[in-house]
Amino acid sequence: MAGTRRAPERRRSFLIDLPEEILSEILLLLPPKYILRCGAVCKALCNVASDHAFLLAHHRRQPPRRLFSFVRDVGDYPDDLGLVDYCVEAVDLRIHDFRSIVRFTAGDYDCLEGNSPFAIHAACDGLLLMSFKRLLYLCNPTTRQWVSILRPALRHNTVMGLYAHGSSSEYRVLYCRHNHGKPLFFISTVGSEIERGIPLRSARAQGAKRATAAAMAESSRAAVRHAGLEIPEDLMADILARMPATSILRFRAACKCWHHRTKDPAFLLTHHLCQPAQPLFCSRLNVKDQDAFRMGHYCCLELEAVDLPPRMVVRFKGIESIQFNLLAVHGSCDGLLLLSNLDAHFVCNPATRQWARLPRLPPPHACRIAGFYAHAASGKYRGSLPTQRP
Amino acid sequence: MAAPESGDGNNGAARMVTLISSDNTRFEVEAAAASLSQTLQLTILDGGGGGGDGIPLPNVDSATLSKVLEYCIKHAPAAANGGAPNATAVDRAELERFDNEFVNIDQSVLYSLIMAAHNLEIEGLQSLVAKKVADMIKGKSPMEIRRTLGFPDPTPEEQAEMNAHMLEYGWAYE
Repeated sequence: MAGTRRAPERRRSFLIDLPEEILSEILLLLPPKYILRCGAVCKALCNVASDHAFLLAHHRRQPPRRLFSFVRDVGDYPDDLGLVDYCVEAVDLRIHDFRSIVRFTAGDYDCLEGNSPFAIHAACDGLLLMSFKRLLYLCNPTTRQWVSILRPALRHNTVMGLYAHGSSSEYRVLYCRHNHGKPLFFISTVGSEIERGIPLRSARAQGAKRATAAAMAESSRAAVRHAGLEIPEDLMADILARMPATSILRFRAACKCWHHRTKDPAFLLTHHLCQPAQPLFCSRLNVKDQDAFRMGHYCCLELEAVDLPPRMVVRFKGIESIQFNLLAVHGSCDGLLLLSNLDAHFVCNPATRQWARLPRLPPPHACRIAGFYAHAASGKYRGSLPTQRP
Repeated sequence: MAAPESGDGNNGAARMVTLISSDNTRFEVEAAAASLSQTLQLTILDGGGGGGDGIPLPNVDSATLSKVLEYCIKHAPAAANGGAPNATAVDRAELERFDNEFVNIDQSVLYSLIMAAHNLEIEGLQSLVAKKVADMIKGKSPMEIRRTLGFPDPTPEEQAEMNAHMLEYGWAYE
């Protein structure tokens, strides 16, 4: 309608006609300065350029910069004013260049005597939670904007983290303070000044140390719950796949959704494929359990993989030392090992150090395993037995 | 149009497919060139577009399609080699020169090219045109951006908004 009323010579830019997703793809290629300028050009561009998802995507495309916080007088005030420009700089490792990230101007020099008046407490999505002389600020170095944050007050509280709350797209600060020796945890939403306590689960009749541990676990769970919402599922799996197996196992304890996610067979397979290949080398007698060994009850057998240094892969306890000669590896598939000792077959997962005894198989001396494979449709693993020739 | 690649060896000649633009013009191109489009790739792999059939492209007019195919034909040999290993520096410089000249076009053509690249999902062309538009924005003031991209002159209230914005982010205009 508006188009027909307008004079015919009033042109329209082709940019306006582009679908929003193409427009945002184009704007993603621009340096931050020009994204800001686009905000002034027209409403449509401004809408795309100020969209939260777009800004986050743009931030992720920027090269990572290491933050260095130190005090430097970067201002050119006359000496008699007694003003100093303090600045936090980031170093760009690729071009060996320092970039000023945040600047503060203050009127005295006391900070030069030792403790820096700056502290960076947390960072999230390119935002920095930092303090200058115990006053807390949330800064956006890209747009050079900042807001003052009143809660938590640093005099009594310690900042634990800053995170984006997925469903409300608010930023929240997690912090703790000590009350009669016990830590209490709180969350406050940036800009709201309201704080919310996190109730502790098991602070009753336990030492202060135990309570701290529980509180930490509780708070990290809370943070994880929020953080987990923010990161897309596939990206999360991508990150987790690059972690060592022990970390994955620890993550399982952190929260329920991660527990399910890291137990997914598809994920475990991806993770295994990311691990370095470990050719199996030898089995040897381990003398770590010396007491038991001396008593003559059992010895430990270890299977080691060649990786420098050698790594323990599987450990068996046998009644008699002679058994270690009979430890045999029959096959491997997706990081699982099919093993046998004197009287049974086992499937072991060296990464998680779990194992399962295979039921309904003839004893190892009476049969020979031909192969071990994953059955695609059922997701189960199968061993194949050739017809036995005694 | 030269065809340096001998294709998959069917009768010694490269396989050809026919594409039909929205205004019913028929274009015959090598399958390898048309396969740069993710949208067309599957159809071509299934054996479509050969002989008298042709693949109709109702969203792309003939002027745009010929431009798109010019790009595809130029880039098909490099894409078939997987890019880097065999390409010499001369080849790459030549492609770059071609790309630069290719996007040196009128804005209405650029617009239909952007839309066609997205409809046909030609990755290289998508990033080429996006980069072109980004370059048109880079290094300019808001007024210059408006002029370059064919916006009408701002109304008084638009001008006021612009000034307010420039005041807020003063450093971005240094």
